[in-house]
Amino acid sequence: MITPATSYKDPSAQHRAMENGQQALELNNYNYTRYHSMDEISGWMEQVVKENPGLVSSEVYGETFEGKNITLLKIGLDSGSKKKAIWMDCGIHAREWIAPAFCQWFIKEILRTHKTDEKLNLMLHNLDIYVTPVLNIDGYVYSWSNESNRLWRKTRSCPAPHCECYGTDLNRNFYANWGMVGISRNCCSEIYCGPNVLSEKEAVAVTEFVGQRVGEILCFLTIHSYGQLILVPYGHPEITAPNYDELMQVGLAAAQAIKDVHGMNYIVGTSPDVLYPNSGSSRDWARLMGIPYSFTFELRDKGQHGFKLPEEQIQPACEEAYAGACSIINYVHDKAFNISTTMTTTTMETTTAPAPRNNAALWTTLLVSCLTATTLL
Amino acid sequence: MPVEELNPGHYPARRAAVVAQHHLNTQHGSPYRWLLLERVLSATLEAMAGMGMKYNVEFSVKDAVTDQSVGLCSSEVLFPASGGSEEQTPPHVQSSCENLLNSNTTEEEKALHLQLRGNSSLVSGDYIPDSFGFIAPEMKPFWHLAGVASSFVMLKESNESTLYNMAQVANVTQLESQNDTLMFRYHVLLHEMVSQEIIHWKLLVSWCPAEGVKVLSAEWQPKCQHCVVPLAKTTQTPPDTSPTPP
Ligand SMILES: [Zn+2]
Repeated sequence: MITPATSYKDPSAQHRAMENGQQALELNNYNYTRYHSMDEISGWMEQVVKENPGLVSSEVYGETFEGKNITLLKIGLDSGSKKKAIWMDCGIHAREWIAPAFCQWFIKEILRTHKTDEKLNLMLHNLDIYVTPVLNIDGYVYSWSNESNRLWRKTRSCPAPHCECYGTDLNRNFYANWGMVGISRNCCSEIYCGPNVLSEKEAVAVTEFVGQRVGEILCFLTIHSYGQLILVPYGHPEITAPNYDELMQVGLAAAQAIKDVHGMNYIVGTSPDVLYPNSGSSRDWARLMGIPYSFTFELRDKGQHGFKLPEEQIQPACEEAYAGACSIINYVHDKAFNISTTMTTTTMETTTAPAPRNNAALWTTLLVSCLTATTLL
Repeated sequence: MPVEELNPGHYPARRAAVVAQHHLNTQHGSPYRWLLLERVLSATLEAMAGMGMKYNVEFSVKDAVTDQSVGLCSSEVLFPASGGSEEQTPPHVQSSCENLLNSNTTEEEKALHLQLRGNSSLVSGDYIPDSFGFIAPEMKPFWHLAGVASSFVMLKESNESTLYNMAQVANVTQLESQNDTLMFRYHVLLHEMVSQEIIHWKLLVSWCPAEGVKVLSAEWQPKCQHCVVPLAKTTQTPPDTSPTPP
């Protein structure tokens, strides 16, 4: 018998409310297969730092338009020598809730496996991983405020004098061919690039933090949804990254690693090839600054649920994306630290240190894996 | 004009295939059959002098209701030349599919229809899915129906610079009806990927198992009272309301 929908309540809602009261205190009970509010994520971050001394620290590196702290977690083991780094940010677009969920999952997996996984342990001695679980905090909080704000994308900065709409598309606001293609000058547009380059404090925060560490950061990963894509620089169709071929190979290997987990297809390419041209993205800015490996992940799905990916898909979406991210980080690490290895298509946990190979064998393997991935597209 | 092979992973091929997906829904959709593009297998593009751009796409299709792959389709999608006008001109689509209708949904449709006809109260619901992606199982047929009905609008609104998906049902209300044809008023939110806009439409939808889904009227809703957003292309007039012939 069908009755009005208003009588149906999400059976998990009550459970969610109960959890929320206690999860800030107990990391063990934190539910990574649910979406979390900013307050819960902030509490979780504090707890992660508290429970993992010597491995995780936090740093406030900027402030949002509304004055909230932008905080990252730094994960790494002390090696006594100069380290390299990996950057990851999530939640640059407010409505892409799976992205912050992934950043939390990513950290959880590292914390869970770093003691037993020798390769990961080695990488944490060589690399620091900077993770910002939510970059566009104002927008994220707004998207949680009520159902009709759920699909908010931009920041929450005040409208320009001649306009009445709030917010700028943070991923059109970076200093990378700013204002040229795939943007709007209309402040009511969802792809408004802002009144000027770096008008948004959130973009400035990333620019300053990463800009001061360009020699240190090897790889820049920025996590979005949806579409199941791995995007490589550049968003401008007339500019090609000098290492485009390598970026594609690394991206295709990551897509294969993703497919190996739950069989999902991810498409790899530049934004103008596989999605649309755009300018002012953080991915392009990072590559232009000299960070050699820069990728955008567009997580599940391909449009059926879009930004409202059901919570039951958080786990599989994060599992596969973790494999993809690890594939890239493994490659970047091994190349920087002269470890000869195949391009891994497994998760860190299952990766064992491979036997040394000569370069010819390595490149043959790379080529085969890339050809395989290409035919799958 | 030469025929250009397209990379099936690149956006021109996928945009054309999504248009074909919308077309398939207008032809075959129901509360128990909501077809989605699974994967583009191959695509070609041909510039047709004076007529527009003709895509031929081969792709696999899944049914969102069962989450199963349901067959292969090949479609010809023609985006008419605009002739310099700003008016949105709907694409012309012709499709042929293998196995598509092998899944028989007649029984479920009959049962739902019977149930709705016999109900003492009319169905209504808001925010399907909710913020967490949750949909009450009983409301799923009305989500699928919204997806199918939205495809009528998304087909007509599509051009080479758009990629549409339904983002959410803001509201569905069943209306009183005097005969076997059930009537629903929908407020749907569409996501246009290229502009990233969320576009609101109010639809009047009819459904009965014998005649399928029809969109009787469709009204675009402005984003806010005073602002005008330059979308890739959005018509403010209701689309042609006549149902597409089967
Ligand atoms: Zn995004």
